[in-house]
Amino acid sequence: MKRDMIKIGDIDLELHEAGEGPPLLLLHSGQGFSPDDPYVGMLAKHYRVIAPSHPGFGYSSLPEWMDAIDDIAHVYVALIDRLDLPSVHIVGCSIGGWIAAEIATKIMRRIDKLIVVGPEGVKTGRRDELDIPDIFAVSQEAMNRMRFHDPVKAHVDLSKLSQEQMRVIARNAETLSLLVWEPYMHNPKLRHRLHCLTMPTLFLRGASDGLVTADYLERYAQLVPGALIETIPEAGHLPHIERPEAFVAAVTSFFGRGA
Amino acid sequence: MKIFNFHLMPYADADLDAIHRNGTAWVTFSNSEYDPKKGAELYHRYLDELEYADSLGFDGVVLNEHHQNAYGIMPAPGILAGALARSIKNGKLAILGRALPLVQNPLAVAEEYAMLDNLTRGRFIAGFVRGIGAEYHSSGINPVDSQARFDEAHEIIIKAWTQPGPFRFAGRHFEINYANPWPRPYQAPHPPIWIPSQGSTSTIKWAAKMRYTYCQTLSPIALVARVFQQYREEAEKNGYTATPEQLAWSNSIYIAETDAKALREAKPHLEAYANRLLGMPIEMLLPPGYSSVESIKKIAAAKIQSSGKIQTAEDLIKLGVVMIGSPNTVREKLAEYQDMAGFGTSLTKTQFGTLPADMTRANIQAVAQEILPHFRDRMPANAPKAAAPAA
Repeated sequence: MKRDMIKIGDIDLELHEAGEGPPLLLLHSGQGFSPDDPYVGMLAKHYRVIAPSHPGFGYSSLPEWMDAIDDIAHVYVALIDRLDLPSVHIVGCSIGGWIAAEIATKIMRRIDKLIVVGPEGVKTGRRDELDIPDIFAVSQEAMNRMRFHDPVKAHVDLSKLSQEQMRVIARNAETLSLLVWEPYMHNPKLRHRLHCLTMPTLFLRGASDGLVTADYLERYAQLVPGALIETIPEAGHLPHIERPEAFVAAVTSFFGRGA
Repeated sequence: MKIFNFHLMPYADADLDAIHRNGTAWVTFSNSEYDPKKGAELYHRYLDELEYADSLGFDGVVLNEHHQNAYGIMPAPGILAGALARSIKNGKLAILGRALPLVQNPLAVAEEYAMLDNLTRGRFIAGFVRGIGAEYHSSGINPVDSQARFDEAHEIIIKAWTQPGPFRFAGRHFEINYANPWPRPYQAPHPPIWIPSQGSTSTIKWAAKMRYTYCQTLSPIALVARVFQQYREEAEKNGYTATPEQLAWSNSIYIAETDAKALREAKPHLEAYANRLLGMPIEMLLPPGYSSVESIKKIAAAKIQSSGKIQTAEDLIKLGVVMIGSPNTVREKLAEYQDMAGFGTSLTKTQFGTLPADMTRANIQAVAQEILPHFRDRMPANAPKAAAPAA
């Protein structure tokens, strides 16, 4: 995968790119982007995959003014323009799906088709209940149980990681907190803007996702005209990691095979 | 050495088994466990203890702020300081401190502290802290904003105390068009400012640069010595030599006739403090962004509260976190630790954990009789050397 640093406004953005075909903007989850994950190569067989590291994640810089998911959406609106893409598919996982939804409310006609995977971003439930469990107040073990169908696979031996890898993980976590701590996991404005999404939209979810429930996804999808819902069995919050084949099959079936 | 009486005001009637089952006395430990009848008695008892300490010659009394826990029931320390402002006749009155990032309007702290400084006719000491990680879970404030909110709030408060109002402040987190708080502080230009910390490098550097008194919270004496040395070196870099009084160590003392008796009496109450009231899971203690990655490593290495390991009273004595024993033993230890770490201010808890009223009162009296007179004029023996000038 090709890796570049490009300047968008005052941000140094880390940008990965691979494959040929219809352009597909791939927006990563809160744990950051790993170009070596199998699903990435599989997508690149069909599409020109364009995968930035969000500001404050990976090696992208984080300007001081930035503190919300919607700020990142503005950066990617500028990126789509910079790359001169008349139209683009977007796939966003978890907070990447939230960013995708925010982008879609700004440049609805420029987005071909949209897939959001276990997305956060709206508050649909009661005031005295969290829609998404508090990820900041649970142990790593509990977090893995919520994120994976098979938590054993999630085990990362931290002692095997380099200091630099640990630094990136800690920084990703810090940026995530900056963006989603409060309002927790949503932008109060977003739900009132989703009515204008005109592109075909698919809400995708791992059947064992302990963070984004089926009910939440359904209430979220109802805010988007004509949105479809699909479930990937035996996968948790990150079906692209846990079930790459099934995930890529769902993407190609919705977007078309591309190149 | 100046010796202050520092009270955490624990909810000493807490059901320790219930805390154990919950895993922590913070954030998620239900307030249905709080009995207002018992709590009311505790507040009055603790205020009596501080007044007693003042009457016996401690250099001052110290309060702090913590939220939503059984560890310390002082979410609004200004209330208790107000109660003490007219009864503390001799010593200073310190709040160490208000958690600045947790307030929505920093002028509220400027006002409250100025009122206390007026009420005490200039015997007030103003502490500023960031609040601990748990309090970001309990307040909704984003821990990533903690340092920036602290910095802005501090700037607003100092400006409010030192510049004629009204002035305007348009920051990232706080915006005030007419900052003009009445009253102004009694002391000129403002009360002494003390900064408690767990030993974060950035806080030590900043406190030394500002010449604020630095207070090291509950830590083994070896770490305290390292941290204070770091402060002295930072002071030299800023062109001055730090005085021992600028360095305050927060500790606990318990005295009985013999070492064995003191240990036997203090042990269950100290262990209730260390193993039940203090602890919390790492995700509560250090939410993302609360500390820099570098600081996290240092805190994790040093702090007993994040270790999750059961701490015995014997461990805490051995590590020099507390001093427990006969008058002679405690005198020896305190002198040894003063020489080792070079501090001139001791923030001493004479009540900790579940230590009951009668034992606390006897302990306050013992410290006043057996320790205070011996240390009043004592300075660190090897006046700590200033850092060698850079080559």
